[in-house]
Amino acid sequence: MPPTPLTFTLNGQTLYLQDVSPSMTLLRYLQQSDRTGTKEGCGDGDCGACTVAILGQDANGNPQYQAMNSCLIPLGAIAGRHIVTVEGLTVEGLAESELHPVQAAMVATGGSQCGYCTPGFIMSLFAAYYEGKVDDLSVEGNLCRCTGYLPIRRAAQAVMQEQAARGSIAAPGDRFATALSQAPVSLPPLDYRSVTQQFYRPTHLQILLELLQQHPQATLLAGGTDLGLDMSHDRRSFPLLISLEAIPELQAIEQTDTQVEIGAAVPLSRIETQLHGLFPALDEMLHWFAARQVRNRATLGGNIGTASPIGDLPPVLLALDATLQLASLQGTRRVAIADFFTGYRQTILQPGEVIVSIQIPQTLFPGAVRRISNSYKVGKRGTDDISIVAAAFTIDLDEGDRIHHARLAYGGVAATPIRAIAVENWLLGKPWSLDTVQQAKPLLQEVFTPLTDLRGSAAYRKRLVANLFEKFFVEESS
Amino acid sequence: MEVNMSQNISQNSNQNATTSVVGTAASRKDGRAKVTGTATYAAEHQLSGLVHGYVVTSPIAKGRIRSINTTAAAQAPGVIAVYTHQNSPQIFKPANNWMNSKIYEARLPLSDDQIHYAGQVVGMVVADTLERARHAAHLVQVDYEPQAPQVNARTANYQPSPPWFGEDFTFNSGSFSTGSAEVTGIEAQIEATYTTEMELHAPMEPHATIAHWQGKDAVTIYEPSQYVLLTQKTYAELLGLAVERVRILSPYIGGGFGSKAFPWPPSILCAAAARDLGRPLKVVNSRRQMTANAGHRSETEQTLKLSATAAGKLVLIEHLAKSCTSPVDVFPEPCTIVTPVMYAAPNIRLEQQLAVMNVGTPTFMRAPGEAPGMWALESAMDELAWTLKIDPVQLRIMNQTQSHQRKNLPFSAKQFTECLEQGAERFGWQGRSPEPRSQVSPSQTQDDLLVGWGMAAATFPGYRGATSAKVRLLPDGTAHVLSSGNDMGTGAYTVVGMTAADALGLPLNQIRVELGDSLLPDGGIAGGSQMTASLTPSVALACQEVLKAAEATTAAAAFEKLRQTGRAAFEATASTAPGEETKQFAFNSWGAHFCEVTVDELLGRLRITRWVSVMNIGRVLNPKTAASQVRGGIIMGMGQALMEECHFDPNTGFPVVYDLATYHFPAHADIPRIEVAFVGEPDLNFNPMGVRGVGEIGITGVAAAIANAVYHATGKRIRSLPILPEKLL
Repeated sequence: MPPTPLTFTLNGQTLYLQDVSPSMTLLRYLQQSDRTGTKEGCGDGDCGACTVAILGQDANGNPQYQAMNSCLIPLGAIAGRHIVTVEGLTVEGLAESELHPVQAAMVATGGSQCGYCTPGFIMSLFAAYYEGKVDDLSVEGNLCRCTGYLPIRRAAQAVMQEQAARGSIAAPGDRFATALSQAPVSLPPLDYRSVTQQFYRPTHLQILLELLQQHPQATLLAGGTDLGLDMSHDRRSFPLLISLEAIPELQAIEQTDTQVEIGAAVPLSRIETQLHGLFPALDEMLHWFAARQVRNRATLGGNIGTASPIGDLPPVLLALDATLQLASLQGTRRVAIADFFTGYRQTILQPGEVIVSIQIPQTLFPGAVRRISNSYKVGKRGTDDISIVAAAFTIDLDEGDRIHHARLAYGGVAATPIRAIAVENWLLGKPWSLDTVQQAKPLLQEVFTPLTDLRGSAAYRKRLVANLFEKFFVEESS
Repeated sequence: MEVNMSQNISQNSNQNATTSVVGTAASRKDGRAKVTGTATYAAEHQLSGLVHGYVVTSPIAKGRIRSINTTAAAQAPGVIAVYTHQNSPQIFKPANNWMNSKIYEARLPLSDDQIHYAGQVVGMVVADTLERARHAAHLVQVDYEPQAPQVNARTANYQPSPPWFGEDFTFNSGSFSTGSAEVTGIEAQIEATYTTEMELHAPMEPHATIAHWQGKDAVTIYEPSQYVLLTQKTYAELLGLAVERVRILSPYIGGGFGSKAFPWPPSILCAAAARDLGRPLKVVNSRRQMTANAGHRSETEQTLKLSATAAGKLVLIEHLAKSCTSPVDVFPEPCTIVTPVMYAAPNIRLEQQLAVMNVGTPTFMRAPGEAPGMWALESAMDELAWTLKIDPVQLRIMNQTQSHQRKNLPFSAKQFTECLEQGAERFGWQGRSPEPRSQVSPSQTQDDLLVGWGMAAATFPGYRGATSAKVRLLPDGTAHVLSSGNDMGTGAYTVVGMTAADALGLPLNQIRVELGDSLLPDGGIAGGSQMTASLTPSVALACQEVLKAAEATTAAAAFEKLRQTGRAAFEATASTAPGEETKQFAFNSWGAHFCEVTVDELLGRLRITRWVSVMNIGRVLNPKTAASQVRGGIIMGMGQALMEECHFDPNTGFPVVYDLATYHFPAHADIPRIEVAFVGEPDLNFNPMGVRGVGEIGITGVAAAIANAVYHATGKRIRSLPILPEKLL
């Protein structure tokens, strides 16, 4: 790859940056360059005050504005991208009537009080506006401490009504709609070097593997919603970063009659739309997973690769018997996700090896005639939260409604995402009935020895392990 | 818009009532600046030569510093200075008496080697960029001599609390004052203990300061301040300057809730170090540093005893409250002040205790005292209602007091009964089933959820202070209103503008409002819900004065004179203050909350599904901004009720809750439809505008209403906040 300068488009203006740290967050860059409309409320991706809109791709590969937390995105990751910040929505001196529709609605409903969270809400609404889906969910990742949210909800409703009345997403001549239609969708390769850092964005899997072989100490960057925390707070230095965002094998979703294969670096929001309806357990968990801004960046491979015991998606993948395709220069291998996690934040990944894709079978277990599957997340807050316990269940039934195959998988109850294998085996052959579930509950309650932490006590977690299974039965059998 | 105005706005300072703006749901004057990101907060001011400070904080909660090695930090790239207690910039001890100055924490930063709480500022690194300052801050090596900290409020050593603004907490009436043990007529009694956990203000804007010195004897400080003029005087004392040599700029505040009225240690250090460095210096608290260095509401433990006749008339109230403070300042959470305001009883005993813990200094947080006090009192009232089998709404109506039982003054313009009755009607309270666990509704997924209805009262005092405002008429046909008072999201820009618009007979868009600058007349404090009640009378009066100065009867005539004479402006400053009325009346705002919750007992999941609040706040200047304030208070109360809590590692004393992923407050998805209505008349005894405050009343009673609904739903009486899922399993 030839060396590339760090180039991106900010509010329609192309910037060429030299000698900046590629791990500096976009938020820090905006603030340093006197673009202070974008706010830092936490620097942790929790509050959404730093939300900006970045051009990405929708499920059909078309350009789309996506709301993202600029506090978690390093400059290297935005090279070649188009970004809109709150400053880009208005031109100085514009009359009130010339505010962007989402801004005008927020003024009219009183959607701002102290105003510090407001630009983040504006940008979330802005991105949703061009999707034609300005709803409650579009601001689920924005925290407000003043307004009680209802004026913001009313602003969203007003914008939606305006679009419905017009019969089109954007008004004629909307410059953002025009820019959207002309935007490039593919990311160019990048080899950017500052004095002390390097940032690669390869566009071929083979090059990625060679780079990894060459630089085993390199840090892989997918969505960066976890790694970005270290960048946001300067907790680590990153001499060499390799982005996984432009490798076709890692960005593809392939669907056959028997399985779905999801590229490891596909953002979760794309999985959410493209695979909607295929796996109820996946749909449900993605609904509760963090918030929109995070799902627009976070990836399935990342959620697995960080091996967090409270990652939301590994229990779902365990319940669905997913397999992982791993690759290194030494070759490729396919492993069951159940064999992937070896300890607290530890996996079987070898140096130089990456997760390429995740395969989820679409077929029932041989001999079964019906599948029941769903997932659950219990947190302190409705959305935008880390789980106390996450669970995913799959039960395949035979012709006599007996349990032919069972997967009961949990997060937040052990050092790794984990299955209750002993109880799964105990369930086999038993009728799918409340009686069976009630008998299984005491077993489930004792199968793990979770910790007490600030999110929940060990005793509560143990009861959740059992009660979530009952919840699953009650919901699925009604 | 779910705001309903049933009040009759009778008083209007505008002669021409047909053009009145006051009382209408005008949009915020600062709305445009906020939605376009052009409202500039303290940390965002760009100054040439600006350098960045990052404070070094203690990982231990008690002990002392044996030694500090700053060599590595000082040699790190970009580092300009490293401050510790061994080379602290000069800071003078302020009087800290509210009159001349006020700081949140009496101990000055870097004043010695003692460690009193985890997160205490032990040093500061200044560098050319934030990244370099933060990096070098990690290179400062501090050798600590730790001692075992006390961070457990349940085992702390409680002593009788010092007084609250000069008044003893202890209060005894009836048999308690006479020492007679004989109390007759008790036919029912409840006694219970209610607890709350430590809460954080968690404003969206982190605390930040930029200090920009002009030479060594004048400084401009950009800092979010709820009380600009006192902050100015405070910095003058801290820095050894004449007051007029300090300018405070705080035009926009990204939320304060009581935590941004006075300087915290990092800000003081910033101002002092900037003089030393001769360069503008910026210090921003990280979200994590705010846990120790930006205040909190103490955990509380309150024991309530209510005795009543079988008919429900209260005979006796005992309220004992405990809270905690830091080793370096005294702040009791005044839970019991609300008790003699709410309900009449011939025998009342109030007592408060305070313990010292190794935590950062607590301070005023939205409805200090009332928020936890009403949680306990209104839970206890509900328990009594169940015991007596009396409708809790009726129990409150029959026991309300028409006078403040400590001040022995009648309440002015109290319409509490209307709040309760109208709230009950709007909510449909009459349809409530009388037994716990008797209401069940199918959820979306068909498995049954328990449904509960609960209610509680709300109150907050009507405070008012002395203020001044200046009004200037300009030949371009605009009027400028100028005051140091400020708008931390409350709507002050808007209601000040509306007041002036009416007083001058001008449309709102011809009024320009400038706030938050210490060069302007003293607008008082945006605290105690008193900015509107204190400042708008001065604004209205200044408008009258400026017309007098112009010898004109209308603003239009004054503008005409300016144009004809070529004069630059007419200007007048007016001041107003509370007077004799405070000796004749007690002033409080009143309200009632009604709510519905659902409880999933399998998971302990609670959802608030419906909320109705009716408020009596005197005259409502702007129903849109007022209702938003009430709703904001309600959701903070929902946070207090369901999720907000800060905890410490019992061994190290270090907080285990330190960011917005661990300190939860409600997100959009947690909030149901909230209906807010106002009742009542302007309180013209209180001030000429007839307005009492609205910023804090919303939070009071919310947690109790929820806990009361939980009892109705589940039969479980939760007496410890927050009501976590596991408490409902």
